Amino acid sequence: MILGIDIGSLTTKAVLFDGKKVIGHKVIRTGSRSFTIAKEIRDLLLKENKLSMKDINYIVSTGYGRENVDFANKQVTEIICHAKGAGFLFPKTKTVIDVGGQDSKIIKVNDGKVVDFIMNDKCAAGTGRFLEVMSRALEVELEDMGKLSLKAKKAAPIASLCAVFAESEVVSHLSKGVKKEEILKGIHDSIVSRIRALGEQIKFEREVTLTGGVPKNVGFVKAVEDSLGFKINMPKEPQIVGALGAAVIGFEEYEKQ
Amino acid sequence: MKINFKKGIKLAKNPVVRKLFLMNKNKRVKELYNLFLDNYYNCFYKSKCIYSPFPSPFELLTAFDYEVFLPEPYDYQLVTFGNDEDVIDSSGLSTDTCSVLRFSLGAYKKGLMPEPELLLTFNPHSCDMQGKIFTAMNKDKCYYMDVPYDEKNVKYFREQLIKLKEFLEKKNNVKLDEEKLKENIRVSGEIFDEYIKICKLRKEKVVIKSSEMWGLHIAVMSFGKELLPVIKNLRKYLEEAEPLFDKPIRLMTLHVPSFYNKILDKIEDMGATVVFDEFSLMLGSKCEGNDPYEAIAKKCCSSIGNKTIQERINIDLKIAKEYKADGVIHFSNWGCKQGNACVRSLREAFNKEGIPFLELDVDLDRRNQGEGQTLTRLQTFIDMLKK
Repeated sequence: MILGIDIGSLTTKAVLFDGKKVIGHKVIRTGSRSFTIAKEIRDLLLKENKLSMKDINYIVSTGYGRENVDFANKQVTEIICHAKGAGFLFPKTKTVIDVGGQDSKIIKVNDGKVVDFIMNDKCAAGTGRFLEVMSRALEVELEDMGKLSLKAKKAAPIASLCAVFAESEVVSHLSKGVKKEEILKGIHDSIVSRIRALGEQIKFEREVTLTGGVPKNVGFVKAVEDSLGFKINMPKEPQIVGALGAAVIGFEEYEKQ
Repeated sequence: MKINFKKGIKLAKNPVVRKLFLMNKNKRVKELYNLFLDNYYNCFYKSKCIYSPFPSPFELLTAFDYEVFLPEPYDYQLVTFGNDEDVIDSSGLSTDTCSVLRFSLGAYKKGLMPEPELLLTFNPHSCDMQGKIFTAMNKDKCYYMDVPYDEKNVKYFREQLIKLKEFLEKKNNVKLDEEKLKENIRVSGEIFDEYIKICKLRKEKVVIKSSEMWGLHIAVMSFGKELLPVIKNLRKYLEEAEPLFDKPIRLMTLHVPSFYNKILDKIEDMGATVVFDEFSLMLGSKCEGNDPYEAIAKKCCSSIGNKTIQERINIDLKIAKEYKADGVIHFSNWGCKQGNACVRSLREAFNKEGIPFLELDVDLDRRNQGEGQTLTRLQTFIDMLKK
């Protein structure tokens, strides 16, 4: 059995993989426990699946906290893991759009291997953190934002420059009586606009697979499809694709031994 | 530990402080870095100091006994002393502008730069901010020159060099010793030949660390006769030296990395090394010919900083193939429009040729650069090239 652990800025994900399919997975908040979170999620996942460390043959860690997993056999960057995970689920994947808690990445993939990539940084606009801020400003639960936005017939414009400035724009829209669903649609369009600008630098090649926590939001997924003009691959659990990729890499390494 | 900058400079001859100046303590390049210490010391305490742009017409300036000072490379060394945020912020400039020159102005205001007798600066082709910063430092001491956009206008720049000579003669109340200038040109040419030999060594075997190579780029850009024996010895040593790495991933770098976080050493720790720095093309061509002014003009006009975007792309592609680069890293420095404006065109050109390209955001202001994000990008890129 292989364990893949992905320590992200907002959530930590773990996947148990037997070489063919996912046996179990878990997602918990990272919080401020980046040094102990890996052990915590490992123990929870093993317990849920009635397994112990003796059953684990290989462990790969990924994500920003990958170096803190002292019991891992290997550390791999999350860019490589998302490509691997997306390629495992959708073998014809050529482009991965990963939108996580603090960054978004566009990864060009061939046979599950990275051939090019580009990432945002320096700004939370276009990421999960942006949605969190907006959720608070609009007093709409994070998980309800997507569904609500689908009701909108038009989008209220939100500048995509900065998450903090965008919050003021949302407050301004609310004070003018703009409907929440229209603001939400504007927010999703704003995130997609940033991702689109980023991805155009390396071009979106079909098939495109979405990964990360943000694609759990149906409003965001629709905005991406509307922007690209074609259907995209949606994993059942997009948030664990990085951890799954880590586990697939772990399996390949274990097979080599 | 916070080091007082002024004290640091004053104690440049002190072996403890000397260590702080050294980007690398390797004995092979010790002589080279000692030249920088002497240069800084002379600028502060002994000689007439002149601030100079890239590429420096140092052959003419040193003929008037000026000590040539390059503020930008000095900033990169000074920033390792810590307390750098305070220095940068004291420039009073917008955080969206070039951090290197913000640091220069901040350091100047705080008295951490040597007091120049003259600030020589070029037009904004290769850098749109240096002239403004020099003007902000002391506009009465500024001397502006207009480097044309291509080599066809060498004559135009030659005329300006003659005017500069006349200006310096008047200012120093001295007639230029033309023989001294010719000798400087000859030495500069000889140094350049040695430099090219060292650069070309990297085609076959990597015998010099990437960080050490940067010391050489800057030295060749600003030092004359004192550098010649040092670079000759270094070349001889490197020709005989064993390779430092076993089959590393070969990288070409574009623009300037951040040195304070030892990014070049980290690249080497990841199993890659730099075989060519685009920056070496900033030095321009070899200084040679019977007419010293034409020789300097040709050198300055041929610098890659004065090329069009398409010319830059063509040159970089040719070099990448010549040096068998597995991949290319563009260091995008915050606020550098000249460097960053053509990144997308560069990426497309390299991708078309099947050469992977990474744009890496870096900055002298460490608040603009996330360690984790930088390492993740680098590690992924190098792992990608390994496969």
